[in-house]
Amino acid sequence: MLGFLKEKVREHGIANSRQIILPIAFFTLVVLLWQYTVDQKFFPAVILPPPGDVVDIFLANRKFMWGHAVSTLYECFLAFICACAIGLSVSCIITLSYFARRAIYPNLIIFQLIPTIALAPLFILWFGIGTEARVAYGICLALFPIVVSSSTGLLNTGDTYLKLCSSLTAGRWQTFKSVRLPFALPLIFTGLRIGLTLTIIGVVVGEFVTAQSGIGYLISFAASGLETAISLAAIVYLLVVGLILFTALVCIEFVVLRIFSGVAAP
Amino acid sequence: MSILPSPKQSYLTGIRDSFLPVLLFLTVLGTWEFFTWYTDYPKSILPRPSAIFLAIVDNWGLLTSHIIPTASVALGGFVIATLLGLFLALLMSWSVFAKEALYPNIVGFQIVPKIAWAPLFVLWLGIEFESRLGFAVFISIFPIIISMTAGLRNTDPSLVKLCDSLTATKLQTLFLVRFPYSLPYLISAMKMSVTLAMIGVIVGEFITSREGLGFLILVAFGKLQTDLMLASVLFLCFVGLFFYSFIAFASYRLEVWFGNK
Repeated sequence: MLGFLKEKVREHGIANSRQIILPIAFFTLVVLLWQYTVDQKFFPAVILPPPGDVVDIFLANRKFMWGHAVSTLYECFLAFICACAIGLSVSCIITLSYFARRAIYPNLIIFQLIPTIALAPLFILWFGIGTEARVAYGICLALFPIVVSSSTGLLNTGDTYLKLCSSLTAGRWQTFKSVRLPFALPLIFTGLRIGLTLTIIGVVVGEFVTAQSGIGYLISFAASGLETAISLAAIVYLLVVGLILFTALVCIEFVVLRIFSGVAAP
Repeated sequence: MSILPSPKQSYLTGIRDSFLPVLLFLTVLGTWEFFTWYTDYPKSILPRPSAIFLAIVDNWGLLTSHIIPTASVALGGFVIATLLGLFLALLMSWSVFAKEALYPNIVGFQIVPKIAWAPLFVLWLGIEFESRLGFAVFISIFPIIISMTAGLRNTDPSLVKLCDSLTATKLQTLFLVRFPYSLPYLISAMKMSVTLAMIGVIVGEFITSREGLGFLILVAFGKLQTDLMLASVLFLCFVGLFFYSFIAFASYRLEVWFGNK
């Protein structure tokens, strides 16, 4: 995999060092500007804490914050796995059964319009303020993009391939397994990536509303106590959680695409 | 639906296909109504569909008065995000320097779950509509920047070569060729971005607000008026649907205007 990455890098030609130096220079400039505004006391420290403080808190409260991060990570993971299982089975049913497709698909499209974010309090009402509520809410948010994009992928197999399958007397299940699924994989993984983002959103919003544990709780609690530096440090931890989950998903995508079609991830 | 492979369409299957989804919807609604009526399910946990309808009728004035704050802030945030995002994308495709400096940072920044910034916006901009507007702009600007940058870059190379050989300036190429050709990207990004703007406003209203449908949901939640909560959600659906169809219409006009259709 490492060799592949190296090859990719060479292909895209990060040949000139400018492409690496410029973004870093811009980032440094922003941080310096931030430090400058703090030094000049344009804003009170409550609104804009010095960047040094954020780093200090990030490092000093490692143990405490990492505990909250692990709780968020665990809930996101659980919700995402459940959303994948439910979403992929629904889209398989939609693909395999003509009747189910006609009945369910239009409803799915309409239900996608419901602003699911507004349902957060309802989930607390139904599932209490524990882990269950946040996980269920994460599932609810992630489910629709996963179902819609994977069934779009599974249904849009090229006509010629399907005709070839039926002239070779392949059964519905055979066609599904060896033609529809491999062709749909890129779109399925696109859906899963959107779903993962939404799962994280769901869990964090759930933590905002229920306020028990987790990074979302830490952020809103610190913000309401005017501890902006703690909020910002907590956001960095949330970034770490997001990166862990995304890296895992991208690795799985890479392996699955290799296995199924011999085509590497784009 | 172009997605659905069409078998031999007879008159009868046509009717059946359009009735099936409606039938499923009504069956679910009917089961819900019957189940809650039969078991006398607590109204505060799952109200009957008819109760939700009655809640809409009873609280019509209340609901409609809370639409305006939510819808106007979401619309404002969306418009500002579109204009600002468009400006940044054009800047980045006009100047290689700006792109190399900004783009990796924007993509990197995008990885942070943006919803987490909501409490900070309240802290920075106060509890009035400014914080929700700011947050809506913040969360809905990224799809515009990223997909417009991709769109402006992915113009047909032969067209760009043609412009070069006709000695068009960089600005001319940008506005007369690259921009019209990237309209489909802009439209799909706008659809994403309007949904995100709504999400931003609702989350902002959850955190602190004294008006808007998100606020109404929280108030109804506090009073265990679940029927009113669901009614507010339904109203939010209508607002979302209105924005979405407005963009679909506007995008059609835009494409006609630029001669893509």
